[in-house]
Amino acid sequence: MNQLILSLQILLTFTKLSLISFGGIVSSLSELQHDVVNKYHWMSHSNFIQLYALAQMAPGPNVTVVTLIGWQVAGLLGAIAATIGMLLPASIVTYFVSRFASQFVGTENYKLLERSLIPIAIGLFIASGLSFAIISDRSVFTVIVTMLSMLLMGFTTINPVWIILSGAIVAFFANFFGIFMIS
Amino acid sequence: MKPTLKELFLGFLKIGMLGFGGVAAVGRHIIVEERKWLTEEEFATYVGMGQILPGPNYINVSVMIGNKYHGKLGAFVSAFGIYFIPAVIVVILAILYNKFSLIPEIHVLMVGAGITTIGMIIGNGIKMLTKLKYDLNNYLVILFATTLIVIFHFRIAQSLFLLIPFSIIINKIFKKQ
Repeated sequence: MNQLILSLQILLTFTKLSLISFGGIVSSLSELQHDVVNKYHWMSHSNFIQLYALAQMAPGPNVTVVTLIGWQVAGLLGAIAATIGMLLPASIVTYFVSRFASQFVGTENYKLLERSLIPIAIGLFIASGLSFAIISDRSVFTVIVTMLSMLLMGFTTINPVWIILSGAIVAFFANFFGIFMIS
Repeated sequence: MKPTLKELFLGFLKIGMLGFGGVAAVGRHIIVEERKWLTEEEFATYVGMGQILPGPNYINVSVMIGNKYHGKLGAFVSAFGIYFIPAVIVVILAILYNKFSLIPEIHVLMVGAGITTIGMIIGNGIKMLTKLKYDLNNYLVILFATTLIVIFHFRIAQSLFLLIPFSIIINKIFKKQ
């Protein structure tokens, strides 16, 4: 029963996210964090960030983090609820809009819409990252790691999986030598 | 070349499985070069639409390609194909995480991975920005978005009510050619 209620909450949460995330799940990560950590108290902020990192290490689109969160909160039913909630509503919108694509793609209004929406997605990406950094980075070491990974991701073409693994190893040795303490 | 349902499924399955660190690069390679499902131009249009429609970009792209060739069923098969294996893998990772994440050494690695990922989220935004043509409008919109979310703690839907009209108006008035 409890699992069923949880799964329904998961379904609702991700249905909302599905319809408000422009440019991908990253633009509404701060919303997801708010719901998962502050609203429902399903996990701590640190846990949430770790799960996001874990999903980035797996192949596939980065939206798989929703399946991971659903699984953690309510097992298989939760994973299914999260996946359907996140993928189905947006897919239905895409399905109907794309049927009329030939009528509007390339028109002036479409170009205006494209020009207007893409910077919003970018702004929301950066905003999600910044708000997480403000919550998570409580020491000089963590600020430096976050900034380095930002630069590597932003200005090189290194595969993200390598950046995450390097960050994990750097943190491990920093902790080993007493430079980085985990509270 | 018109793919069969099975070919769609297997093609997207491959994109999902090989897409380490994101599916964008491998997706373009398989869809445009290897399978020739779309021309370069069509692909750019689909990805552009995937970005401005709500929801995950690549799922949207898979829905559009599937729909182009086999309607509703094609859309479902394509989205399922790209998502299925990665979803199974994240669940396996979750099981491992739950088993081992309390071991101090593993815990440090995971916390390190987490703080690194935060930087990558910001870096990804910067990378997308550097790919756009230089345009003051973009910077204004990005600054407005970050201010609303980071400083005033707006929720996403609330911020969209301000950001979408703002961005459309300034892009309409200050049009860069």
